[in-house]
Amino acid sequence: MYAVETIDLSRVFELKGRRILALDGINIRIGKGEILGLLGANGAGKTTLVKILSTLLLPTSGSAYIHGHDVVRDAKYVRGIINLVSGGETPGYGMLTVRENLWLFSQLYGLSSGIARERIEMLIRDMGLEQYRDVRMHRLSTGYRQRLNLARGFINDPKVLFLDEPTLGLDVINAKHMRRYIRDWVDADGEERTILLTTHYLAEAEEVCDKIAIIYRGRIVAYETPLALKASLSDGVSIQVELLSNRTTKGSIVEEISSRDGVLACMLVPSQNVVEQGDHGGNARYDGSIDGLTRLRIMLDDDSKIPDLVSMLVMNGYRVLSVRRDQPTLEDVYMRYVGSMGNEES
Amino acid sequence: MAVEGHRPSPIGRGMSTVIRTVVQGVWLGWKVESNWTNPFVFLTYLIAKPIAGVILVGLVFVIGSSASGMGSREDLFFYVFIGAVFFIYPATMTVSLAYLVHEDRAKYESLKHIYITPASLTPYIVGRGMASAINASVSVAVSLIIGSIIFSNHFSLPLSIDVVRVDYPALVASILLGVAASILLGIILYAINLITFKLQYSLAEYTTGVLFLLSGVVFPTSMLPYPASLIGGALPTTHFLNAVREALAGDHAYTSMAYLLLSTLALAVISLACMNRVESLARMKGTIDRKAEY
Ligand SMILES: Nc1ncnc2c1ncn2[C@@H]1O[C@H](COP(=O)(O)OP(=O)(O)OP(=O)(O)O)[C@@H](O)[C@H]1O
Ligand SMILES: [Mg+2]
Repeated sequence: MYAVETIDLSRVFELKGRRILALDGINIRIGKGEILGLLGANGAGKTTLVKILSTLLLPTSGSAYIHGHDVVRDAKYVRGIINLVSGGETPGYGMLTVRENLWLFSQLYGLSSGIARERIEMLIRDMGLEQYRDVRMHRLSTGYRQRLNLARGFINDPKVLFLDEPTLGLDVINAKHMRRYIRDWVDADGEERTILLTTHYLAEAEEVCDKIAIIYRGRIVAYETPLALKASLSDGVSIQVELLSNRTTKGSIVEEISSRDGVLACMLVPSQNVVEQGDHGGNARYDGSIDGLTRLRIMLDDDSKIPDLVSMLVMNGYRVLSVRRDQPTLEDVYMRYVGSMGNEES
Repeated sequence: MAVEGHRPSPIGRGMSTVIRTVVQGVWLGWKVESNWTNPFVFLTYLIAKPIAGVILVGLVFVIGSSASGMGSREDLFFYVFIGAVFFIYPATMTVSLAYLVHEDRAKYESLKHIYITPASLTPYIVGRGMASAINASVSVAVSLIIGSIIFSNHFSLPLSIDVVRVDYPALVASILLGVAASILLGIILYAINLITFKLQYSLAEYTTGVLFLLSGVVFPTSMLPYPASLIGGALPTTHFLNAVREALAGDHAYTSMAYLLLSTLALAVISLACMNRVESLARMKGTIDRKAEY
């Protein structure tokens, strides 16, 4: 029996006469003790899948099971063994203290008061909320409210935990802690605990997940371990090129390269600054440039294509600062399957 | 992991979860609605506003009755004043339950998390409604006392309540039934707001307005034009106000109470069916965690 299993799961939204196929025949199987990373761009369908699995939304067709129980017909049972944390949200009542907020949910989950008290203390400790135990939630900073939100997700010691972009809005250190915490949590009882985590960050998925599913326009386009995914690219080479140019139209160079023979994928590498911004929940702009410096990540089917590519760039007025061969990363996998990091909403 | 060491029988367990959820609802409602961090605002909301409403109704009566010279002024005043005071129950409670959807869904972002617990929404709403009933009781008591003092001293309209004649058991029973009916009405509004977004604020206002007209607050429902009088007669709020008036006057309240009980039971069937239907509809439409119309 799988911790999570979906069979041809689809969901259609009707919006002002338009039909949006948010999920299109999803088949996934998550084993007990696994962390599955669901990776996809904005609008790919990640949240929709999580909502169906956490009994908030009904599928249009297909079925989904949590520990063998149908999320539609057996929702009551399923609800007892799952929980959901959405990153960037801070649910709870401002006039209640940290402990009271957790108490409320412990009671809605039907925990006996002894177990509830014990678990609340444990979670308060784990999340570093000790000095805020009896502080009303509206006085906490956003980061601490998010810790409280995460603590709530563990209050019923769920068998399956859904984390929808859990590190959204967290600073780098806190995001790292959270990833470590959830990995340790699963490993502490690999027979019983499972996590499905959605994210935009490849590095995050690579760091904590046993398996990665790439979702693109409501379909799973790749579903492997991080290693196997990377190995699936071994037929190609990845290079990173640094260019200097005065040209302002960055899009055209990517298109130009992508359309060349032998190029499997090409994308702009976000600069360090841009990545930081993204980690803080801001809208990362993947324009990959600071002051005319452009970094490109290019996948070629063969390394004999490298010289041609470089001379093409030079002829187009770019100054090529460096060309470096890289190990394939998950970024490359993503590029290969999805093509671009652009917004999928059309 | 088993949540509890020993498991009581499934029925006992189910029952105790329901009761626990109600208790949590009451506790949370009390915490959320009684804003003691800002006592001035809270007291205004709890005391000043309802008193102002009751006095307004009283004044309209004073002006109206002196112009038309109707029958016994005291009796009419009793009718209107008690009606306005006890109407505070359905008015407060339906409004607070209708707003509850928006508060939990958008303001506190907690609705989806409450929804995905094994606890059902209905006992939670009932608990929140009961908390609101506690607040409404304070408003009613204060309005009753202060209102009657003002009207007897300044408008020579004494409230003819003889504390010895009051049928207290009937009064208490009527209030309990009235509270139940108000919660059930609130559940219907909650259900509507759960699957829609446009009426978050207005629905409660419309409903209390219509209830005020149809429930015989300031004039008996028999004075309403035909179809409206029929609706008024079917509303538990009408019988609630009548039963309270009769119990306070020491009159025979049992006919009104029987009507109140029957109409409340009918309402219970309707509102539980509504909630049942809406819970799955909301899940189908995805309105449980959405903050606004898509
Ligand atoms: N309630 C709804 N009504 C109509 N369309 C919806 C609704 N919910 C989601 N959609 C649409 O379904 C698609 C998938 O949305 P979903 O929220 O699942 O994406 P996502 O992968 O979580 O994106 P993001 O990374 O931005 O969170 C989008 O096109 C979205 O606009
Ligand atoms: Mg999402």
